[in-house]
Amino acid sequence: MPGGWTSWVFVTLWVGLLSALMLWLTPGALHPVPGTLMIREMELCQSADCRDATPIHLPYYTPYHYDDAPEIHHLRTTIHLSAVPDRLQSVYLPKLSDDVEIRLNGALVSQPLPYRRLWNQPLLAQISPELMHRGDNDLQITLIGGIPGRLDLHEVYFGPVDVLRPLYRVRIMMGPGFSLFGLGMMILLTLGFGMIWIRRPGDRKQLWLALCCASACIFLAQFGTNLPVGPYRIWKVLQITSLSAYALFMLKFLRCLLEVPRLWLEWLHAWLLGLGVVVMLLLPLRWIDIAATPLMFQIILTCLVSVVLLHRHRDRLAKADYRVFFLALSLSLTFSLDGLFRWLLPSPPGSIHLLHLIPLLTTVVGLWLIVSQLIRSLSAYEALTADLQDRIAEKSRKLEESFALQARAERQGAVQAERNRIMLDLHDGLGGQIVSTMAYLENNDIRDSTLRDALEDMLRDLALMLDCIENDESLTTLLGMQRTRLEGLLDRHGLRFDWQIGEEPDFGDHDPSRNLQIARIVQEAITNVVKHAGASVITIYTDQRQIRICDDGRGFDPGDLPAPESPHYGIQGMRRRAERIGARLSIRSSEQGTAVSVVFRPAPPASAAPA
Amino acid sequence: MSQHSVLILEDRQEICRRLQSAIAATEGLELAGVAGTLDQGVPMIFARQPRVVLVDIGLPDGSGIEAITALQRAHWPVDALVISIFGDETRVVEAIRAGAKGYILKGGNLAEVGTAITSLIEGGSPISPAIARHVLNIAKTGLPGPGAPAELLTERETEILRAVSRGYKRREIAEQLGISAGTVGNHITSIYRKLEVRSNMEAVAQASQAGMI
Repeated sequence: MPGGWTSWVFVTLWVGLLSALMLWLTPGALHPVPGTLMIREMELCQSADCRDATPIHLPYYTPYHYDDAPEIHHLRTTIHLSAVPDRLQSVYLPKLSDDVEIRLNGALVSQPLPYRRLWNQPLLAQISPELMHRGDNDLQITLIGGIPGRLDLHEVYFGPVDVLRPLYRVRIMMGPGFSLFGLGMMILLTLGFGMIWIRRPGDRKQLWLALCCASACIFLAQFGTNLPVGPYRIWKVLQITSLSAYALFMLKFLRCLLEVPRLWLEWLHAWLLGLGVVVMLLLPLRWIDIAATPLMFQIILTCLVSVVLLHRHRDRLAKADYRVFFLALSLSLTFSLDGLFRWLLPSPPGSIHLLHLIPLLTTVVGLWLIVSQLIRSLSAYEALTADLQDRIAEKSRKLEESFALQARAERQGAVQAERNRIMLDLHDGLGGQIVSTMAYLENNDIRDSTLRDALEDMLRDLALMLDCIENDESLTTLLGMQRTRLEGLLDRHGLRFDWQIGEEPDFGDHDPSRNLQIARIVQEAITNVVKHAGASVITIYTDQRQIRICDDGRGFDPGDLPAPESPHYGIQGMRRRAERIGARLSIRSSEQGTAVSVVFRPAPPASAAPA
Repeated sequence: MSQHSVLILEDRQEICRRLQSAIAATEGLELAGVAGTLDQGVPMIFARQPRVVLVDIGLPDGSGIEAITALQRAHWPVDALVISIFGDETRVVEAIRAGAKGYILKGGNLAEVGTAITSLIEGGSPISPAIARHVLNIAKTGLPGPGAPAELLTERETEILRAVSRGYKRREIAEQLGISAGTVGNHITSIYRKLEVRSNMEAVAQASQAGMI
């Protein structure tokens, strides 16, 4: 049994409210119809000739009877006509049970039919004006009950047939019409859910729904066809069993839908149903309705538990699903209560059965389930498709990137391979020749300083190029390697470095060509100091924006005309190199020394691109 | 002072002559032999069992690395040194991976060549700015697979390596940090030990294996 007293209280109050509303509205209540005579008072005749009669008020209910002989009740009334109508008249009985014979002024206008029970169907009997006369007309209605149970007759209408026929048709629609429609839907849903369950046996929800609909088919056939099925005992057992099974399977469906563990109430319900059926089959006929009463209460309890279960676990359903289910189930419970009252009360209110409307609510639930699952499937399909497309787009993009990277890697690989080949040639070929030549000079004691200096310059230049290629990520490391290469030269000229390398200069993208331009400026500046400045210390300084080469030499006048042997000549080349890499060359010279700075310009903002 | 025998494997005659002069001029070194090809050199190495082999990579009949690899079979203590023009080429690193202990410069003066050989025999090794930067990269990214450094560099070691990579000499680094030049050398040794290598230059070889160089 599901806990949660708040759910119990809420559902009880809600169903009470619905029942009160139902009582207030009284579906099927009979009201006067303009242009017709509504008969509320009749006389109950003690015999067929109606010599002794007792006044009665409609609706009239007989007590339950279980005799083998047919139950017959004669009722009569007088209809006063001021004039004989000139068009077809009718007697309309909205609610009666079980069958009826109608006579007007002794003439038979409607007779009972064998195997017919009109307990859920109205009757419209047409009357020819020829049978009527001015003044009092005698209307006799004989209620006939061919099987156990009780007879009833509600208000009777007398009037033109074209006025009463629409009311009759509405009642037909409300009674057997809806029953038969529901029966058709239940057959279809039984087959539909059954087939789904066969295809997907793991989904027990479909099985319970199919069984639920199959159970509904039985009592809907009773409500819709008005045909007695076998003896009363069998008819009653079938009705109670199908209603009870319907409630049980609905509970099982909900339990599966809400993914709730099995309830002991299900066992109780099943056992009680089995026991009740056995008792109803074995007991004497007069006790059969009493034996069915606990089963009716059990049906109400199971329906109530179903609604409570749904309300308690409402967070496990989509909001729209919950609202549809809750409304349908609570209305079903209300209709079941109406059926119980109609069963128990000696004179129940209203003149229409509501139990047969419950399967219509099940139809709504079933269709909603199918539609909502379809919508969810479509939404999931669309989401999946969109996700798939996104993934394809993402994978395609990555694939393109991968191809681009692969192509770039292949290009870089080819460039690197070519670069390695050139470097190898430079090392083993050119470098080897220079070193070998220098060794030759040394081995043979050839003291040609010009030649040796030229060879050393060549070797340094070659090293500079190789360093630029191998150290293209860091300018400070490149400067460090330059120091390693030049220290021997400085030693020979009595110079030394004052090394003040700080932050890595930030001048944009690094590449070997750019590094080579900077390294050549630095090398040219250092060579100038070695050759012309007469200095003792060369200071190399860096920060984020500049590289500065200072010396403590004699300085020079930057305004002098350049001569090939003067430092000015190299300065022109340094300036051009600086401009080529977007830097500015600054030279300050005095008697205390010279400072050559390579200043990197900050990168221009993207919007300030040159025209 | 004990004499260390040196065998030269170099095909350029003038360079050979110069290296012979350097060895002759250096106390503690003696010439074990000279070969111009692999075919001559490798049998000569195993015949004369020198303490040091000077190997040129680009030999007429193959790579000098093959000779360095062959030294792994030597049953006497022997170190291979690469004869390099610039001391930074890729093939030097390959040679170190093969087991070479370091390099000497072909173009240096005679005194430098002799000092470099004796220094390397004693376990010392130069560290160029380029090599320092590679070691910094290794410490930053880690080495994949076996031989990965068990622990990261200390702040002081990183400081020293960064200074070396910017061109500072050991003496200058020592002055900046207020420590001795020997301590700087010890730190460098410690750095190499953390890289779990047998010698200083093998650290560079591992960097090469990891694709850092």
